[in-house]
Amino acid sequence: MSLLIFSTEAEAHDRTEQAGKDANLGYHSGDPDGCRYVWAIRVEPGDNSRAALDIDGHNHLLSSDETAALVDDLPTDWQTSAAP
Amino acid sequence: MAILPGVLAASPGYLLDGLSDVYGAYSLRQISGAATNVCQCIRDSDSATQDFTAAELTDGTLTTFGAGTNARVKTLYDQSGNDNHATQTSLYSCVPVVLSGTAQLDANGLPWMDFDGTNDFIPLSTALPNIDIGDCSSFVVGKFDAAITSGNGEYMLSLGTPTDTARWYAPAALSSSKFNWGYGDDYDHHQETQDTNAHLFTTIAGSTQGNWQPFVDGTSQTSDTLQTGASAGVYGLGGVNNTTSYALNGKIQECLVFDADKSAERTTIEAEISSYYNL
Repeated sequence: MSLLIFSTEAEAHDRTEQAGKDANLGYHSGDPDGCRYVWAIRVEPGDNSRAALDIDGHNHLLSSDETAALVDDLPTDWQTSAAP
Repeated sequence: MAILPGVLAASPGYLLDGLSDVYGAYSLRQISGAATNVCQCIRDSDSATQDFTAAELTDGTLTTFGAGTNARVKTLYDQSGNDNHATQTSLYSCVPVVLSGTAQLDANGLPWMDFDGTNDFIPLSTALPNIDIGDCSSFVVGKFDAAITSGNGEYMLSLGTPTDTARWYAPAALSSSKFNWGYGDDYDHHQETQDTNAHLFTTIAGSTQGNWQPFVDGTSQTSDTLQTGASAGVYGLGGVNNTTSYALNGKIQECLVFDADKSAERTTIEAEISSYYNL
């Protein structure tokens, strides 16, 4: 799995929803209970509020710039979650 | 199908028939006489979806649907009759039951959901809101695939989140190699030595029992004072809070949630489940 990093959760949310539209997932083709998003969003806890998409597949939906920006690991300064 | 003695007199044959106070009941087998489909799956290759009966998960229908690709559980249909269906809306957070064309089965040939430890999660917070942790029972059949030696831990079933009042983590696994139960005001209320075997994890709280108790395969692990509080936040099968931070690397086959203290029927319910899954 690769990761695509975004500055905000909203950007990541919009990107995975757009992918859902591009993939014609059920929600976007008239099924309100259908899948809406392609990739899971990973939100950084704390004040930074960065986000990442877990790119498990459907890489053909990525642009060439996005493909070039894929990383294997979260940034080293990514905040970790406290106990839930 | 095993008959549940003493409970199913009116409608023998399925676990839930004759049981009251079922809030949500999710399984890859049929556990109610009224149930038809047990889940809806989505496949990676073309995002097509299909409903499945329990029989269709093992008679070749599912493997035909998932041939050459992955098939994931998108919706677990609530077999309680309450229509509290649990659904995931992100494709890659749906939980595989077929990986690269191969059905995911336990040693007895029974299907299970294979949570990847990264982002597979089936939320229950919308399906089962307003759970009172002082009057609740949960039964989940599952396993952790590895001993937890570092990190944030993995959560198999959560029914309440960090409001500091209404946790129900039943169970989780934490470093180092511990089964963990979170309850009420405490995320690590009780620990036991972890293993990677399949188990029936029962947790009951209520005034009939008089306390909160977690059980593994029918054996009580501890008891503690009842707490009350309404669930909130994001909770479900395979994690807590969100899809990624505490993701389960393991398997789940069945989860029953009662909005009541089912201690009086616990051993009967556990006997039926344990017999079916050969636990």
